[in-house]
Amino acid sequence: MNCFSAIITGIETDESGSLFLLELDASGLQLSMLLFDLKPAFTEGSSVNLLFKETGMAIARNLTGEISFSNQFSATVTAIRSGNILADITLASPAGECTVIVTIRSVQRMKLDIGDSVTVLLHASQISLETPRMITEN
Amino acid sequence: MIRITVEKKLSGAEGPFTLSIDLQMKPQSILTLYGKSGTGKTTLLRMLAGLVKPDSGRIEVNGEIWFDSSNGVCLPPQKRRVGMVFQDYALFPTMTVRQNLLFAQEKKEPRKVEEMLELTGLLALRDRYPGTLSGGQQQRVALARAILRAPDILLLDEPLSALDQNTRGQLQDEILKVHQRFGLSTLLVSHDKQEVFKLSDSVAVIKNGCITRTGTPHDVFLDRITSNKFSFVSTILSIRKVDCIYLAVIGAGNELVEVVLCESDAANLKPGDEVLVASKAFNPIVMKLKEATEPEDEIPPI
Repeated sequence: MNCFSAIITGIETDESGSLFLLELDASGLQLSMLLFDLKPAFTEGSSVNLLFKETGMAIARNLTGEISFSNQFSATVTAIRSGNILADITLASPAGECTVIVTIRSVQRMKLDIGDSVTVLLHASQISLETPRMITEN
Repeated sequence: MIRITVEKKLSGAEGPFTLSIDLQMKPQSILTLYGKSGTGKTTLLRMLAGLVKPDSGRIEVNGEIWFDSSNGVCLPPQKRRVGMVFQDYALFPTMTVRQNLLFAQEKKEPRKVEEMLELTGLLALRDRYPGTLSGGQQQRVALARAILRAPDILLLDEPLSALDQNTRGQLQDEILKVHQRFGLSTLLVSHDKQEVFKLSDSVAVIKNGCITRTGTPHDVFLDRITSNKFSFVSTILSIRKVDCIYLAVIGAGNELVEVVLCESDAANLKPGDEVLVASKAFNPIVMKLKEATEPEDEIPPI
């Protein structure tokens, strides 16, 4: 599981008030995510952790044209661990380290190597939010 | 409302300690007492039943005072409308199922016994003796007997801990069903987190005779607030490496699910760990199931 620290910078909601689009600042990266049920702990200015799964994201090289992924940010490949089918690729980004799982075929097609710059693509619907709870003993 | 404020000196395995409880329970809810053995959970249940007298305090059940040390009130056990179910069933071995139930009634009403037998699916077993029943069946009888008294409070002292996983799951459903059907106020002792999450409206953690935390199971056991729609608490049964990822087998109710983990997850997790499995509302694929009678001519996607 990947985890970035971030601050909620904006909250937009639909007419019924049940679907929310959150704007987030993760160490300077502007990200957005979709969410149902806005818990009271999630307000503008709140510090949160953004959680996203290694298998729920994509990476691109020399990306041109328009694409529907809400979140796009640059990162550098720092490690590649290959299996027979899949590869576990470690990336360094301004918001911290993250990992992406892609097929070996994609690694080969993209000619990915350590040190390469890539664009990380992350759906707004694939980010989860958590905030450490203040533990109250009573 | 059930209000319990009691104190009693107890001797534990690690020396004497004071059981000091201040607890409120909403009517028609299930409150679970969670904690290690020897922390006073069973003693608290016995105090409610009138089997153990607190050193001091007050027990008020739906406006009625059962115990008040300040003016010497202490209702005897038979005056307290309490249903109790223990881990060891405690049925009379020389009485049939039906006789066990009849015996529990203050005013003998065989009709009500028949109704209860039917409701709890025990009708076919009514003339059997407890020794000829399975553990799950015996505990179902004990539960029926406890409810038959229309208790103000139902006390369940680790009632399912001696049963296998499958029977336990069925009896948990049974407890929920009768709890809702009769609008009971239930105090459950359990040390099984899955059970706590499945059954409880609220949970109180007891440590060294004191309640250290109260709240919903989520509030108490998850020290973080998550935005995920689907989540359940379970135990990792196994983790195996597949290619450069990992597959974890996790129990989900009576089913098992497999979940993909990555290197960093696998490094922090091992079989036996209790985990929260969560998913966003966006992810699951939902498919209509075919009628059971239709032949399966399509292989469902995996």
